[in-house]
Order: sequence, then structure tokens, then C-alpha cells
Amino acid sequence: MSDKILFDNTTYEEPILAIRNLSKHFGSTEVLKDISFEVKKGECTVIIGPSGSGKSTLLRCLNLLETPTGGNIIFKGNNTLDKKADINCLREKVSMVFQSFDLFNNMDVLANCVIGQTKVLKRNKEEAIRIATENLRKVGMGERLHFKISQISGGQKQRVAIARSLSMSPDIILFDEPTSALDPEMIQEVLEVMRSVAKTGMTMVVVTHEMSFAHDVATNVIFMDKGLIVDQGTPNHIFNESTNERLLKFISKE
Amino acid sequence: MNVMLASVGEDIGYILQKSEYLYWLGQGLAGTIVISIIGTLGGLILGVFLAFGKRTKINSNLPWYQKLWRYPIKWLCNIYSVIIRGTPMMVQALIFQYGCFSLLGINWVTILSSVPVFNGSFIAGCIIIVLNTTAYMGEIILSGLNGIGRDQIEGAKSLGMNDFQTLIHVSLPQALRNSIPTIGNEWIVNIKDSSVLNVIAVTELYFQGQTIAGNSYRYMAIYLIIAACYLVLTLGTTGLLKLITMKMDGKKLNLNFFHFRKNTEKGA
Repeated sequence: MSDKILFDNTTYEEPILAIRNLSKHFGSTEVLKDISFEVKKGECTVIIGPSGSGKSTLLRCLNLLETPTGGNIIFKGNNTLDKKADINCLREKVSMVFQSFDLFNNMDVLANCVIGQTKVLKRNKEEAIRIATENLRKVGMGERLHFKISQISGGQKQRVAIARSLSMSPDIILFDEPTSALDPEMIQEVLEVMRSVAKTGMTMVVVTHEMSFAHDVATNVIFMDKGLIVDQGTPNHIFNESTNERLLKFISKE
Repeated sequence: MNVMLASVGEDIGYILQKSEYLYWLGQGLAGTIVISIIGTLGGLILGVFLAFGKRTKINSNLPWYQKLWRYPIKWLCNIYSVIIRGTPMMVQALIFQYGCFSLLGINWVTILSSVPVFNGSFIAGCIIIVLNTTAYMGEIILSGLNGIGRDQIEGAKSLGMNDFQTLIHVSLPQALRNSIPTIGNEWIVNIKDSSVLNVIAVTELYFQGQTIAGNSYRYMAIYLIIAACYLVLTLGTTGLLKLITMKMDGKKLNLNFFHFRKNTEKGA
């Protein structure tokens, strides 16, 4: 089937990712209601909100780990919910970092970063290893290329997971509460890596409870509650100017 | 009592001194070891496919041509596993032997009949033990695959791997690793259960034991000897499997089988 949408077009109109009227329900429970926002290339969008507000579900809809029940997601000018869209091609360009790391336990650190490149992107092995090593150095794991996943700490695992995502040379990286399973020291080391990734101009969509990260790094902050976008804007708008009661209550408790 | 024990002792000594009997025992040992290894490895390989077949995903959204092959495959695999696991291997062996003879005209006994141990009956025995083990291995691999965490699958999906790549590179290696104790157990079961294949004249340890018993009339002694042989084989296999597991976990091989290990912390 040659008419599949592979999302490999190099020219497209901004925004790179546009979410239009997205909705999702599990059975009769509505998790997302009419979500719309845009992400431009190089931007770092941070989604904050109380637990159960649908942040993670929204993020998982973006690379179709969950299938939305309504609305559209336009990525590089193509609708990802189109029947002709190749989901695997979408996922290699919209990479994801998980709360539970999701590294492959049967491989060492380097192999975790190589497997996707060789099997999905069909890069040759030498090139894949070079790219993986480079990215692992960037996240400070260059010394532990051949450690087993069970031998490294949570913070290190998350940094490897970020390197694994970077190695796929994606257009967007989604971060699903990357620091929620970590202790305060490890949170800082992971946030440091995320900051440096943001500085390189990588397009990021981050779900997090780290307000400092949202405040310092985000170009756009989205506040969600009960499946709705309550308020969105620059960090300055969200943290200083907003008069939304729900948002003020949430921020004061953090 | 003492007299009896002494006489059994004498009988064991008598059998172990006769080079003819030792040769027969050696043949039996070779037969049992080879047939158990072939049965376990062959069953493992086919069992992986059986597990794949049993895991075939079926939902109502599939196009009709997908359903056309998915339904029969799933059903065939399920029926196979129910029938094989629900009947004794001894009966399966007899049905196989007589079925081959009356339906296909193959008489396994006459094939390679001049070759010691590895003759036609032995080949028939191998086929039976492989087919039998496949059903059990299928279940083992299936439960291994079901035990793989959702995080592993999602991690693979998020990189854009398709279902097949996820299975081959992520799920299956971990399922196999986690199943090694159970697979090893299956090997031990095969060492012992291959003894029922004497009904189709496979030259294995029990069959040779019977031969020696019939020849020497020293029943108690020879059955004690082959019991000891089975015990040595199963203990050896257990040890070997332990070494393999340790090697796969990246631990250093230490030949201390009784776990008195010094508390040396592994480097961080």
C-alpha cells in the first residue's frame, strides 16, 4: 500500500503539531473533552494539572498509544487519525519518555539506544552505535554503556531513556511525568538533562509536576483539570497573571 | 534383611563387573541423554510457534481474509495442546507407531535396524517426544510471554517497532529467560519420561535395564543401578541449568554449589 502516510515530509506549515477538538472516553468516563492547542517547532510545551485530569492520556493520544475517540491531531500537516496513517512511522518521529522508564531489561544501556535505530530506522550498526554513544554522553551515561538495566539507578535509567528517544532523531519528544518515580536528587539530574535537551531546540511536550521546570523552561504552559484545558499561555501568564480560581488554588498548593 | 542387602550388593557388583552389561548400560545412557536433549530443544523451538499460534489476536474489526487464517490457526493450536497434554505419552507412542505402519506403511522397527541405539525406533521415539514436549513448551512460552510487563511492550511501541519486532527483540528473549527454570524442569521430566518409550523399543536406559534384567535375572540390582543413573543425570542437568542461568544473569561462575558465598558487594 503505497498511499500510506509516512510523516516523512520535510516541508510543512507550522505548527508542527496541532490538536483540534480532541476527545477521549473510556466507556462512559470522559477523560478528555474538546482539547485544542498547538505546538510549534522548537517549543517546549508543559502540561500541568492535578492527578486524574487527563494529562497523561492526552500525551499518550499524541503518539496513539491511546486512540482518541474524537477530534483531530495534525502532525506535519497530516492527520494522524487518518486510516492511511502509519502508526509506527508516527511513533518513530514522536518519541516518548515514560514515568516507569520502559527500558528493555534484556539489553544493556547501549543496546537499548541502538535497537530502535537499527530495526526501525534501518541505520547500519556502526552509525547507530556512534549516535547512541554520542547521546549517552550528552546525558552523562557515557561511562556506563555496557551496564545492565538492573544495575543502574532510577535517575540513570531515565537519562538512558532520554538518550534512547534522542537517538531516534525524532521531531518531538513527549515526556510523561519523567521524574515522578524518582527521589529529589535524581529529579534534579533528570531535569538538568531535560533542560539541556530543550536548549538544543528539540520540540518537547512535557507532563510534569515540577513547577520550577514549567516556570523556567516552558515556552507555553497548559493547565488542565477534569479533561479540559482551563488556562494556557506563557509561564509568566500562568504563574503570575492568571486570575483563574482553579489554577490559583492548584499553584498555591504545589 | 542383612542377608538380602548383602545379596543385592553382590548382584550389583556382578553386573558392574560384566563388560557386556556395562556396554548395554552405556548405550541406554547415551540413548536417554540424546533423546531428552532432542525432545527438549525440538519441543522448545516448536513450542515457541505453538505459543505464537495460541496468541493469535482475533477481534471483530479484522477483515475477512485475516479471520480466514487466524481462526483455524488458533483453534488448531488449542486442540493440539489439549489432546497432547490430555493423553499419556506411552499411548501416543503406540498410536504413532501403529498409525505409521497401517496408514503410511512405515515400519520404524525395520529402518536402520542394524545401527546400535540410534535406529528407526529411536527416530520414532524422538518424533514422539518432540511432539509431546511441544505442547507443554507452548504453555510455558505462552505464560512467559503473558508475564512480560506492559512497560516493555509500550517502550518498544514508542520507538515505532511493529508487533513482530517487539515480539522478537523484546518479549520473546525475556520470556525465554524467565522460563529457563521451567524449561529445565521439562528437560528433567523428559529424561525420566523417555522411559515409557520402551514400548516402541527405543534403546534408552530403562529398556536396556530390562534387557540386562532378563539376561542376568538380577532384577533388584539392575533397577537400583538404573535408578542411580537417572538420579545422576537429573542432578547433572539441574547443575548445568544453574550455571546457564548464572551466566545469562552476568554473574561470575563459581563452582560453589552450596551457596556459602562471601559477601562481596558488586561494583556500582
